[in-house]
Amino acid sequence: MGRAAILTDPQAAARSGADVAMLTDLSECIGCKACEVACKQWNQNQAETSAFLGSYQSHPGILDNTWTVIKFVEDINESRDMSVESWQFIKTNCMHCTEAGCVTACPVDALTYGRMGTVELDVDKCIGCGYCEKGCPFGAVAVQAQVFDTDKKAGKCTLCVDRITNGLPPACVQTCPTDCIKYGSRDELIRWGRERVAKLKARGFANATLYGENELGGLHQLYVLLDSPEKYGLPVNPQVSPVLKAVRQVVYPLGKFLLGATFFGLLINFFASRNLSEPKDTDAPKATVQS
Amino acid sequence: MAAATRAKTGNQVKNGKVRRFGRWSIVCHWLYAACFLTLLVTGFGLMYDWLDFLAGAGSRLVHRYAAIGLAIMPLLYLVGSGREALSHIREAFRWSKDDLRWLAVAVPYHFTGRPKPPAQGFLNAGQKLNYLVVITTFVVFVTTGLIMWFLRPQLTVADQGVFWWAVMLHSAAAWVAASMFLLHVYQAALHPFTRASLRGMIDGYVTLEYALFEHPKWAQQFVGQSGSKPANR
Ligand code: SF4
Ligand code: SF4
Repeated sequence: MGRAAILTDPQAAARSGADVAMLTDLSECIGCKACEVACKQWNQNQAETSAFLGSYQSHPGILDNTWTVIKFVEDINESRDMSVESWQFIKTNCMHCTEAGCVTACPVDALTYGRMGTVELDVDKCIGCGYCEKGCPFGAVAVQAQVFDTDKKAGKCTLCVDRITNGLPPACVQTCPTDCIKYGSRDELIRWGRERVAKLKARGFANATLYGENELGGLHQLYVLLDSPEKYGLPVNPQVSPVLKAVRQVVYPLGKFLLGATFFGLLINFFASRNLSEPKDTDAPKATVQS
Repeated sequence: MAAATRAKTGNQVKNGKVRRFGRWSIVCHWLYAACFLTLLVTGFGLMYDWLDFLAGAGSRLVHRYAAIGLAIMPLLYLVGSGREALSHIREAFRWSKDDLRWLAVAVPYHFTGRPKPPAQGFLNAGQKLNYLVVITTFVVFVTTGLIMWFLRPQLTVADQGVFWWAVMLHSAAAWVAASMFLLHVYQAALHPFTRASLRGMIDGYVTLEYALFEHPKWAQQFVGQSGSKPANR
């Protein structure tokens, strides 16, 4: 198997246009955050200082201008000597879901299913409403809080769509010193991931698993995990909020029907009622007039 | 004609017309209407593809400003119109069997003129329904709007449902209110039975003919009063 970050020739992938993906092998991530820096640099996102979180983690989570964050998963034995039982890292970023909550949520279609399996964000279309942030099951897209602001926009990992469609690997993939972020055709990565999980199991990691193969119709960010997804803060069975789905699939059509039916009802009434006469004093109920 | 005379109920009669709404209520009504329409148009920009030219960061801002206007309007109404406002609201919540009978025949009646519905008071059942829809949707708009506006950053992935419930109720209320609004505007401006009522929201007075026709239980107190003789009798 050997160490290699690129499993499919990026030039060939760009030419074929078939679905690609990233696979992060967390058994080999050393938490160095080179990927965070590469992401900031390539995408020209400003540095964002944040408070000390009690670990080496750089930011509390993904922000509108911080698209990938290495989260530190520390198991500390508090009952004994505060020794670290396990120290794991997970590179979080947009998963480029096949069934994406953010795409369902966006009211102006600024988020769309894009090229090569990515979920693309058109920042010019974005109105900063934050619906996508509340539609994403992974907290992978963010919009700043705002009161009367009009300049805040959503931001998230693009899977470097501007690079991969031009035959280059994503910036983080190219930078990772351990080559634990892999790039290639999605099928290829799944094959590689399964093999890797089998090897890890053989080495004693009984809970090792490949994440993202089937979740939400298949993610375009896959993980080889040493332990169960919960350990890394990943949802075991991620779902697009059923309330969000009901809004788009039930409430919107029903609402449009109600308003449309009212409109046409009144239109018909307009013609039907033309011969009805306006109230004259003789129309009033007799008892009233005589009172 | 004699100068306006004040009936014992506090209502006024002038030039064969009877007073229906006070000046301040009228001002609040139209301000509320302006805010509502602005909110409706900027909101529907997100819901109808053919209105998507209305969806933008700018129109979101207009939506937030108009929301503040809408939110304070009932307060202004209650403070400024006091007793009048309260008596109307109280009446809107008071439902009799006649109101239900009125609603039951309202559709055929407004198409064909029959069957004749039961006599109504200051508010007919349709107007009561309008009041109730306005009040209910106002409460829904304000509470869910505040959640969407100010609580979003506090809601984690786990409580996304709260946000979507807010969106669901907010948009459902928008369609219910919009439908009621269409009906309300139509009745006030176009339907032969009720278009005379629009004057009541402009200068505050309606003809006695209209009042006796649509609101006999309320209007009979004016019959025979000085200056109440219908002008075109
Ligand atoms: S991870 Fe979140 S932001 Fe990325 S595609 Fe899926 S729903 Fe959208
Ligand atoms: S913040 Fe932008 S991308 Fe996100 S849902 Fe709103 S308009 Fe769409």
